Amino acid sequence: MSTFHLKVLTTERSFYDDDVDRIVVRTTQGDVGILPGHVPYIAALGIGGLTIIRDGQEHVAAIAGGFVDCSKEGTVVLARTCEWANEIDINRAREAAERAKARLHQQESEHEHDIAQLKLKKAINRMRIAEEK
Amino acid sequence: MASGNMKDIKRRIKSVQSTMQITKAMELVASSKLRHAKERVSQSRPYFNTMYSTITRLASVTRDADSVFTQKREVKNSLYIVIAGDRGLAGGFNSSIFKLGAAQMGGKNAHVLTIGKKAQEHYSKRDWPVLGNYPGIAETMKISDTHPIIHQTIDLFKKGEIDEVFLCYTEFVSPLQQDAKCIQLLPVNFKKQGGQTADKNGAGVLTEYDPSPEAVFDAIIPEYLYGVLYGAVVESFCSEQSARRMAMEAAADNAGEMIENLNLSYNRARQAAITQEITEIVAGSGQVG
Repeated sequence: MSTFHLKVLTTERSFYDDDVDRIVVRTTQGDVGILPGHVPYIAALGIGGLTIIRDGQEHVAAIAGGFVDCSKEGTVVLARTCEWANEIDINRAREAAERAKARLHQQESEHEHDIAQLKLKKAINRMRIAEEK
Repeated sequence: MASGNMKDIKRRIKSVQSTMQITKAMELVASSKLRHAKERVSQSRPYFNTMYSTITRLASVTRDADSVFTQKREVKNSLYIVIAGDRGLAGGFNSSIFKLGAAQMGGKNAHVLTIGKKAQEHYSKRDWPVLGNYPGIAETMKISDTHPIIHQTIDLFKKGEIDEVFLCYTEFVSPLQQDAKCIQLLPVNFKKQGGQTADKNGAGVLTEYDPSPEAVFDAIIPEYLYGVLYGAVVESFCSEQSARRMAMEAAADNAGEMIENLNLSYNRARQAAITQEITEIVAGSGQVG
């Protein structure tokens, strides 16, 4: 089976750098699967999962923000945050979700409301990924 | 008289010694922080290099007029984001970035955003209006720390209150060399900045954008700005520690030299005192005898 090179980078580390069979990643438009030989493609990422399939095995990570860039040389995912499912601290995510929910109920400015909503989404995403694995 | 002099010298030696202890300790602290900072710089570099090459390619296929971020307009107000340290005693680190800032801002209608306590102190006493201060974030910098700064910048830029944005930071070249630099952030202008022209194979291949080039561009530019700012702060922090280490090393060396000289003077004074005593005794005994 053919493979392609995938690089996942965050500001803090080089998260993944190897050949893979295919990946599924959540863009702002929904989940997108990328197979070897994909046309050049660039999309911004939303908050969701990144599934890397290699040798028939699935590896799942939580991802938020950034973008994916497919070119002839390979695929690059530049993520704002990215962590493997087993790295997620589920209790911390739960607490974050509670905090964000509490803030949503307070009457606050639109901007703060947006931030709280985003935080809630990220926390829920982390919880979902961690529980799914 | 002589013993008074000796006491003075002794006191000075003690004071220089305690100064040396402090500078030595600061040097050690700085070098351990420098190690961490260097690691952070090297870990973040692949991200920025990839980010930069992607953005450059993207910019080469997106026409200038397509995005607010690339549109050039008549410059009335400029914004300078100046990154300096949170602490002093770092050699020329802070002053050289301010000097560069002053040279760049001269003659322009400049506004300032400061990062670091020293920058805040510096610009609070100057004529340029300060639009925001972000002290104390460099050491524990996370990418999320850049969000409020960039949001404020983008807001001002979109509202038209600011027509161009520059970033002044210190690039970490080597432990012995740090360069103060000023780069243009907005409007995004890649050809001028990197000296790179459009990607060779970028033009021939049709790239698919989801949902559209403009939307992707508008989503990625903030991402790019976060990245650049994060990188600049991390580099500056690394430079600061490096500059401090060098300065403290020099200070400790100087203190050592000073102590040596003072010891010499002290011994001279001691000998002079002894000689004088002997002379006095001999003279006295001569008179008695």
